[in-house]
Amino acid sequence: MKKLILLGIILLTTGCYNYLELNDIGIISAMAIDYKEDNYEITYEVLNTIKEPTQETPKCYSVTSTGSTITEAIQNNNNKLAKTPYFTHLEIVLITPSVNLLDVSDYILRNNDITTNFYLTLSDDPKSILSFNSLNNPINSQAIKNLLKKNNLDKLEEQFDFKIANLLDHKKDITIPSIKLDKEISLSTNGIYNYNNFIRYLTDEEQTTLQYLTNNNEFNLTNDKTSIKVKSSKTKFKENNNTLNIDTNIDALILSLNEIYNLKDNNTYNILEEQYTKTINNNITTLINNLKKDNSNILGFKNISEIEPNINIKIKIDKTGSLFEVAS
Amino acid sequence: MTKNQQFILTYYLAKASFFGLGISKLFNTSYSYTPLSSLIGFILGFILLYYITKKDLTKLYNNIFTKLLILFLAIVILNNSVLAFTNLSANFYLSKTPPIILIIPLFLLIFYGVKKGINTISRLGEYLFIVSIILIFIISITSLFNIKLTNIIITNYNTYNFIKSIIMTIVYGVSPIILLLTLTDNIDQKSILKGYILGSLIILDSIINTIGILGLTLTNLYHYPEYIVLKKLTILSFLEKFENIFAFKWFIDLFMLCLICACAINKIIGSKLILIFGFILILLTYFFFINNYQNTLIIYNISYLLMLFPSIILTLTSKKRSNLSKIS
Repeated sequence: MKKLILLGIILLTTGCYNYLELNDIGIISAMAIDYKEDNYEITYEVLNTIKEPTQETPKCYSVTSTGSTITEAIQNNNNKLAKTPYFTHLEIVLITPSVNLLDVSDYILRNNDITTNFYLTLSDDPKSILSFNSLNNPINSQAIKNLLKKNNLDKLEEQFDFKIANLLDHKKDITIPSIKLDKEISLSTNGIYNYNNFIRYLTDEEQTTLQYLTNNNEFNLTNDKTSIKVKSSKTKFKENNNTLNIDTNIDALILSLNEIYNLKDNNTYNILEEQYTKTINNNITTLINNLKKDNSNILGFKNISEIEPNINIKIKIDKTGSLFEVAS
Repeated sequence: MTKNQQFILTYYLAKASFFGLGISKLFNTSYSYTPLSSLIGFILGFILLYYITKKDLTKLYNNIFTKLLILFLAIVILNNSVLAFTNLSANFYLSKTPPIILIIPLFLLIFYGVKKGINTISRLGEYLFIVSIILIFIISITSLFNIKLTNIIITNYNTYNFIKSIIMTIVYGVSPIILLLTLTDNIDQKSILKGYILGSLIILDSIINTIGILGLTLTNLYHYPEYIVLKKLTILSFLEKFENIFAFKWFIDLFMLCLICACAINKIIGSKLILIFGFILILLTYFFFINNYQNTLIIYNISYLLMLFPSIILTLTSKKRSNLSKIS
């Protein structure tokens, strides 16, 4: 009896059931989802598992299929792939603004084979991005991930399932970073949503404003040929009926100056601080007014449509320096 | 059984019913106040266990009615554990393997363990205790850096659900220990209570980590939030995808619980019938629960009631220990 039990255990617990060799697995590192003409178009970026990829056999390749539903499109793409698709190492999913996020999330969250630890990004032409030969990184998904990391967008709450939880919460609308292809893969401004509906992409100015409102460290601000580097920013929101009190504290460093400013004059710092306070004040007011028009509550206010901002900004420009003026 | 073995077995049993059933059911019932309700539940469970350990539960095997109640309780808990064990394995580890292939080796191991007796099981528990504690320590430390305190704030309080959640915490924590007490002659009250405290603290830590990292919406979206949260952990910010190793802590608990339940069943029906009984249980679990999600949901919703009533009757019908002075 004992021998029988042991034999059973040996035969049944080896973990060899449906065993797959590494070369038979199609490791998918990125996926692009597009919705056009009532059809879903799915593109995979598949890692090449050949030992030493050459020019002819690059480190990754892309496979594309279409289908009337996301399930059908994925199924068709899986059939096109001569390997068993493996989604555990999925890092990036690129979607177009036309894609219904709830459809995608329903499929992905129900499917235990697909990891949810990936980052969602927007793009108008995701298929071209995944088919591109990036000079930054031979694997496009890695290039995108590095861009997100560089811009502090690789945090846990930026992952796909956290975004969907935010969307389902109805407390705050979501923003998704966008990727564009302009001779090279680069990070562009965020796309903003109203619940499940894409509204628009933020302008560069709005993107910078959003950065200091969401306490994102280290970014540059330019105003009339002068530039400062924001080392840290802390913003607090307090809603009082329809008034929104915004308190922002910014620590900055001068990057470049116009010839009319003289750092030996102590008043220069005050003038700069005043100028940047005005600029930031205008930027915040513009952003909030635009968000009100778009009805996109990306900052999580209680009543975005009726809110009036009351802004209080404190900028402190660092007076330390290491350069002496060249004698003329 | 030595004092240390009693401490270790209680430590396993206090935690085991929470995985796959207890934690997700608690979050589904009491939402954001789960940490608070479970804390109260653990304190009340401790008081209840203090009272139960003063009684002699081994005498319950002398009466046919209480024997049937123990059998019923053991079957319910064993079924829950096998379901949690198989569903986790089938969903996240061996998704292509038919669940029956997962159940059979598990039952073979259980039969083997039962044949060896409670003392061998206790010794196995001692060895696995080191693995379990190391895993829990690493998980707790890595979780600390990802917890968002705003996720733990209590909202939408409901007294009925709060009380229900407290009762569930007591039932999931104490019922499996009742089975152990029916099998142990030389109960050491201090060891049992110490094991319960340690097990409860670890479950409380898991609950806080789960809601603190995932947030309420995401916690309620997933069927195994306590496993999904392990997917989000990274060691030293660069080592990731350790969830399969981390989840071993749950497998150890479930396996020990299965062994204790099987020992109780074996004591009632005898070693000759246990094989036939096990075979029927495999078929029942596989065809009635694993292959039917709706039935699994029913058991998921009513299992705490199925565990509550036999536990109450068994506690009330048992008599005080005659050698009470020797207990502590």
